[in-house]
Amino acid sequence: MTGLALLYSGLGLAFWTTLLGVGICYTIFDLGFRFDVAWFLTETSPYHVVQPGHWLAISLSVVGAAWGIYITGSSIIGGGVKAPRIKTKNLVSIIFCEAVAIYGIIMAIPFNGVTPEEIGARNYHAGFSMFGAGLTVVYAISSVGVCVGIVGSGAALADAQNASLFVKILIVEIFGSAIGLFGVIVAILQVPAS
Amino acid sequence: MPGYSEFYFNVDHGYLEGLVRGFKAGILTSADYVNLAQCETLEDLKLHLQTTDYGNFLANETGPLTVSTIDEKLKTKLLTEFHYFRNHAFEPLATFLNFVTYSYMIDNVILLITGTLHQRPIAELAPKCHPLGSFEQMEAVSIASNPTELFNAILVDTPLAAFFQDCLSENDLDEMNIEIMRNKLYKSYLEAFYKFCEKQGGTTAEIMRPILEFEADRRAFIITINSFGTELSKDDREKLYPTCGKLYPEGLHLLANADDYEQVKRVAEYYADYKAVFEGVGSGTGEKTLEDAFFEHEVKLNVLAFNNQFHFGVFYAYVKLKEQECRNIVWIAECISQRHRTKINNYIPIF
Repeated sequence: MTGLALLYSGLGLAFWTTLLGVGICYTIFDLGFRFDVAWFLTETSPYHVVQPGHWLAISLSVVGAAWGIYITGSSIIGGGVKAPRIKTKNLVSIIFCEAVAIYGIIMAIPFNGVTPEEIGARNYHAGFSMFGAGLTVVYAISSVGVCVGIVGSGAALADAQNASLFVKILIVEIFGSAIGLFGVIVAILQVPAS
Repeated sequence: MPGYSEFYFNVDHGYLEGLVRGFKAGILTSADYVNLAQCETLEDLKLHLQTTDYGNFLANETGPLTVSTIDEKLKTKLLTEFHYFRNHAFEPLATFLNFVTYSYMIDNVILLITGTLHQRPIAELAPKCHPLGSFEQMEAVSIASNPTELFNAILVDTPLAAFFQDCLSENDLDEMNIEIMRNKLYKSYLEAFYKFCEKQGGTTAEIMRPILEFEADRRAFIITINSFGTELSKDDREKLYPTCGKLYPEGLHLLANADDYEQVKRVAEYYADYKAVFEGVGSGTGEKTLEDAFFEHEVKLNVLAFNNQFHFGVFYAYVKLKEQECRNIVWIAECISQRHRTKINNYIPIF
């Protein structure tokens, strides 16, 4: 097996063994009552879930956008060798991918506006809904970033063959970005509702 | 993750895929071939080729232009492009490109052995070898006199070592045994290549599968037809067929028992695409031969490879299409230089 596969399988094995061991110990020593999900969720402060929502939103949206940019970028470079005219026009695809990252920043601002006095220390509904908002936007944006990237790569290579195809494929990219916008709208709706 | 090649293909191979598609745009179209066919001399041909992607590849040629010079220069251009791909490739594309060269290596080894058997000097044989299949120990092949010595001394260091397992049973090198050795090597190579593509999975396997299956079946048909009238027994013949094609196993068994061309054609009729290939073939001198029909089908499959993105099949298809283009240009050049223009339009247009 390759080194990386070995590492991942080793880590996975270690993780599940630990979990299994702890679970068996709890059962044997009749300490099962300690494994209490509801206690955990109600005893911790809502900020413990708000913050993960926040950082997931901003970081993974950038990951999705970066993923899309590298997919498009390598195809533009390859296609640009024999058809140099595509170089500048196809930067538009890259800008579309980057716009997806901007959605992530847009999401970060409402999160930032949340302060302890407004949220109320015991308002769990608020906390979890903000986490949910973060998750929503994360899934939407990272997949949109990748989608726009893949379509952009196809657009670059098609443009290299036949210049009239570029604008038509760009329309597909625009629709892809629109889907990401849906995710952002839903997430923004979730934030003030808390 | 197999099946999701779009996500991570471009990390290592995005640039090369874009580049090979750029090269593919430079492959001559039917309009170019019509222009070339209207040339009166080889100098005219050279002029027309200057306007295409070939540019000034013949510019440094002194002395009168011959067809063999043109052939050599065409191959050199393909070689340069291929070496660029190979040098910039990561695994697994590097192994894939190596597999592409092995078929040319096999042809070169067999050419050198046959030449040695007929006492030809190595200097005469070396230029006839296909440049894509060159390997370091090529000159040393001529000193061997039987396959074991050939293997132990020379070929064990080349990538062809793995394909020699079945051939060491031959004791001498004579005319018949060399052909058998060539076919066994090729069979072992094709099956290894097929397995490699299947292991890659995803779009690569999907695209390469019909191409390699057709290659295997085409070899089976050609071996059968060429073995009529020779002393090759039916069992021996069956051992030479590659098993990674559509004909395996029933079709190959039927082919092994065939005795003439009509029976072969009847076997082909069980399979829809091969029926279509055999139907276009005529036996007169003006009509298409079976080889031409096979080349045409191969071109069709290779062109289809460019319809998908994010797979390795585009590299294989590009090499094969460029090879077909070389054959076309050389055919047209021969017709022009021999002033025998009746069959000049028998090239196979690609795009």
